[in-house]
Amino acid sequence: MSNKEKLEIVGLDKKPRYWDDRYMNGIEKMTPRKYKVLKEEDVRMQVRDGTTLAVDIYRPDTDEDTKFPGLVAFSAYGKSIQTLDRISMQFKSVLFDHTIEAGDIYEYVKHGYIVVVPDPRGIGKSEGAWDGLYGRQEQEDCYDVIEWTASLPYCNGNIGMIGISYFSILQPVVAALNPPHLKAIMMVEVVDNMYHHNYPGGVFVNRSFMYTDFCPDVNSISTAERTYTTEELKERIKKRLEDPDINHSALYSGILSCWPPRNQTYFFDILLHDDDCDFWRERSIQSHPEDIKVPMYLISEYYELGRFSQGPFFLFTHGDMSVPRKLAAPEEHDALHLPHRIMTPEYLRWYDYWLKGIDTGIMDEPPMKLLVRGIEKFRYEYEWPLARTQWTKYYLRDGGLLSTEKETDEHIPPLRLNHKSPYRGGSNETYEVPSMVFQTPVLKEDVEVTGPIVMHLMCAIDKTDANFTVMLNDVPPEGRPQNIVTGNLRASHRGLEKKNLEPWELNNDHTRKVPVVPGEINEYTIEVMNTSMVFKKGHRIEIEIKNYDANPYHWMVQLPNSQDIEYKIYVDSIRDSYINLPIIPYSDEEQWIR
Amino acid sequence: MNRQINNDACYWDAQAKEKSKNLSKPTYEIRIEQDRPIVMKDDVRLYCDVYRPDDNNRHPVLVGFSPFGKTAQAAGRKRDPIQLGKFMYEQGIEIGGIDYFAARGYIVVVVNPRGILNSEGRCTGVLSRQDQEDCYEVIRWAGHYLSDGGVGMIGCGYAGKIQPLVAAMNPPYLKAIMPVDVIDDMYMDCYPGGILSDINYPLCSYIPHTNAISEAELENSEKDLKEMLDRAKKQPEIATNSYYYRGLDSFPPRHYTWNIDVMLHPFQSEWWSRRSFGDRKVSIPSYIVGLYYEYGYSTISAYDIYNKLDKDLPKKLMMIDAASARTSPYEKPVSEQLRWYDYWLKNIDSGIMDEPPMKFFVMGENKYRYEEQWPCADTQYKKMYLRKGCFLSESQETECAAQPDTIRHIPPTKLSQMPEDVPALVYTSNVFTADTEICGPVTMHLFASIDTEDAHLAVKLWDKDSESGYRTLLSTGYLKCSRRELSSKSEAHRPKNVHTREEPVIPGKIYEYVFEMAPVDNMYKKGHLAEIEFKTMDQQYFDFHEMASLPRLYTSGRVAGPHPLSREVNFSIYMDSIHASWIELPVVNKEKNWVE
Repeated sequence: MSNKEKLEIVGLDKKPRYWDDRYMNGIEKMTPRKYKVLKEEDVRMQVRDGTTLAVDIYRPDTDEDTKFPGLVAFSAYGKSIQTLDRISMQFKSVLFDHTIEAGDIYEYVKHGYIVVVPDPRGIGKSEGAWDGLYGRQEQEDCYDVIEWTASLPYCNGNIGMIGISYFSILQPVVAALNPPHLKAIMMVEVVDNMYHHNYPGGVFVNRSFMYTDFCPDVNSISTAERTYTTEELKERIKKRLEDPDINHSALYSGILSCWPPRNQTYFFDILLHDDDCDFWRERSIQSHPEDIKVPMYLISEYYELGRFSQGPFFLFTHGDMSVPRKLAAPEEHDALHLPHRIMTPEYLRWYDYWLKGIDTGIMDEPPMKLLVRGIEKFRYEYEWPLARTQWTKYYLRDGGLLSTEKETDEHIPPLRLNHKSPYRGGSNETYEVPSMVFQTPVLKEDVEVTGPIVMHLMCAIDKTDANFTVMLNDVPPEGRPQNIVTGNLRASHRGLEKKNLEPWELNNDHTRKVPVVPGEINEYTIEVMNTSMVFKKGHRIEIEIKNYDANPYHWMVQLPNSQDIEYKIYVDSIRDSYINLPIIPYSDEEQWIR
Repeated sequence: MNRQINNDACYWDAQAKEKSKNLSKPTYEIRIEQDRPIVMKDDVRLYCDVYRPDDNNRHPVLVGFSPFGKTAQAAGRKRDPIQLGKFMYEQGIEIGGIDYFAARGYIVVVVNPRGILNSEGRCTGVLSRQDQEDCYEVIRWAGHYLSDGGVGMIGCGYAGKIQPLVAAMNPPYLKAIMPVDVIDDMYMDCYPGGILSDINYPLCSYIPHTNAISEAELENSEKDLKEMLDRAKKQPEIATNSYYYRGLDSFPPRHYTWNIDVMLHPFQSEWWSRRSFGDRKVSIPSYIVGLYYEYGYSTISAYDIYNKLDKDLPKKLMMIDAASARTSPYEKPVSEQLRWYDYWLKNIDSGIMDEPPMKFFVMGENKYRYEEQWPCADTQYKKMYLRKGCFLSESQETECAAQPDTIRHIPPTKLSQMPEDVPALVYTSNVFTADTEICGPVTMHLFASIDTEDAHLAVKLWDKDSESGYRTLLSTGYLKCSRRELSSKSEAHRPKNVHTREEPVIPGKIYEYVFEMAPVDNMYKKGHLAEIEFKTMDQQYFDFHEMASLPRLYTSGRVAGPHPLSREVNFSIYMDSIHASWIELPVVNKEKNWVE
């Protein structure tokens, strides 16, 4: 049978870019698109404490005596808007909405799946009080929805999970509870560490404010209010409000000044817990990846900021390594369309294999496929970081040079960067945030950077704390530099002991703040995070260092330090600052997806 | 916090500057009394911060009543003013000049309204009847316990809009008000031209309420409420807009309760009158301050409320700034507020009542001029006709067979459209050969047909520099075609559409649609030209792009403005000799009385 004929069986006009001609065997066995869809709205189900949740069920409308596997899509975005009459819309377009993320529901049902979408506790039409994103309560409720779905009379008892972002972030922490009927998971945009998702490197980013629009909570109480005594809660709030970066903001100080703290309760929790602690660990798979025992398919997008580029690679390399796993990094975030459809064929191929017992050939492929940005081609890989990586230090040099050659002069004076408080001296042009820029000479040939990236900065500050924002940019011969990936660090979170580090390792402690001695030179290790990018011949590689980045093309902003800060960055032969780039010297011809 | 506010304000003439010597001097140390309780009539306690001279004397009191509460105002005290739309601008900082007044012998009372921050009770939405009654009690309390007999009010935004509403209740001790921003008709703010807009949607996430409920839920039986929710959910623009739909599909509807109320009241009604000035009467001296917002209803409200105030009442009007010049905190009006309250609360001869009653900032010229009335005497209403070839002309088409221009709307839920790609029709005038002031109400008359029973249209008026190509947005107008009927309350140059009912359009039939646009005061400089733009959806009427204190995502998909129609429409815009479409610009050519 030709590949074209196989695709017709799946119902595809053309092969997705991430499928390889050599690995198409088994596709012909997949369930074709053949069922009509029946939707049951507002079905009531009980979770273990008796609370009733409202659930929408989408299932094949058939008289066949067939039982179908179930797919659970669970998030506090709720069920009401997941199948509105809209096309799949592109990120940043008019009326685009990030919450329509449960996925291609109708398509799954047509291929023989039951899709169950609940309103979580306290959301939409469900009883109870919401306690924020991904907490233990939400994990257990999702566990119960999975088991309830498995018990539906038309269900074959095998359950998987769908949906991107919120829906995906919840998957590993629920899988770690091992619901008996959960047989496999598949995630797009998964996060390993919720602390760093909201506080990358300890620096607060306003990413989560949008959830107040996104989650229709009708009743909620924060985890903090449920966890701490009144006295302790008041004490923690008071201490948090002493942070000048917070108390210069009307919005953030307002949320923290409510009593009882019932305004945007999930966000109150995020604002309150500014160091890594149990609150975050409960929500982060990074603390217990070994608990996952079901096969997982990890899909990342290339995000310039946040953990979506980290989560899949972490789960690929950690936990019980006997658990089957695959990884794909198929697109950049700006290309995102919702409802998310580009991975639907891969989802069907994965879940037909694990939930229907059909050998779709998906496990015959090499385990990783990455979109290499810059050349926009897919490539198979087997490990992370790549074994053939040439770790190369690109030194920050006097005169704004980024060079693989280290400075030889030990008397080069440090470079100064002066951060200005955005609250002083009038309105701020976001384009004009003071920054320090280092560029390589024009590249004479393509340079591929694929892997985790860490910046080492030798730096002194004139205050007891400061934020760092480090941006890795691609500078074309003409036009605007493009940010590829961004890393952050709060200086008071630096590690205090000297350690021998692998090129991808960091020396930080985010559980407490240790003030910096003003003027003292410290080595800061800053996680600039994973990417795969070819810097083309004729371009330059650029490192940009600043307190915060607020360029209009970015949709998240680091909360700036509210006081002026002078950074002295050392670039001499002894106190050298560098970024360690994972340079990929070659790839085998066989690796490229055909 | 010890920042100097200029005592030599740009809107003062030589005499005002001279008399500013008489104004209160910053001679007091400031004491802050935090979280003082105020007991409302129903025993609910509100908490306020009191900023006052560090003595035990009574002083005049200024009350700031903002739904964003006192924490936002305390944050504002730590910051220099930041312009609207610039990085870290914050809407919630509504009360400027707190320290300025306290140092000059005023007691400033900043309140957490009901259900906000640490105040008890339930928040029922901005400018609610409940808030108005509570504000009355706050004024009475402040007058009784703190004041030397006189209370005034300060603040912009909602802290401005509530002032005339409360003053109309005649609270004891309240001697004068000076709102910056007022609202005569809240319906028109939230439904410009009858189209649901999300201009006030951000209130849902910015107001730090701990306990909120919609008035719809308080006032209707569960059965009726559910019917209202179902009806609203079926409204086609809401049914495809997830930002709005999810709240309506929750029960009880406690997500974004303010927006629930807005959605459940799609027509002009008593619910809107509660939070609109309308036909209320104020009997204390009032100084209305407005800004030139290109959108919303607050600019026209400043003129209209001023005009509605009794002729014999001491009253003043200042149009102080282009909206883009507004800052958080907004300190520009503070010097004039001192001059006003020194006169009415301290009996100081500040000279404020010796000036003509109005002063207008003239955009383009960037100077203030005095005025006696609005619309100005000798206004020449000049029609500019749409002409073939994207041309705007003082003369009408003579050809009766001129073909209409067409524009096609495809809903963003059917075709992904970036805001900058939204289709537009643009008509441009010749360059102005002399500086020309346009001051007053702007009206658009449009002959158009559509191929559906209803549609949305936006009109925008620009000032374009012909050399640099740079455009300044002056005014917008919107119309839902089924709301085209003109009300009997319409007056010359001030059309009003009926918003209590809808009359579907007959597809293909040509109607004359009349748009009430935001009023302007702009000097078209020599070499500039006027530009009219039509759009079927107006995503960018307010440039959120720079509002970087929010995640971009938050504003990237949500409509910033009136909602796009949910189905396809083809518009034909006519400009032949029989169907002459025109915009009317109020030209004021007389000698200017500049403030200098």
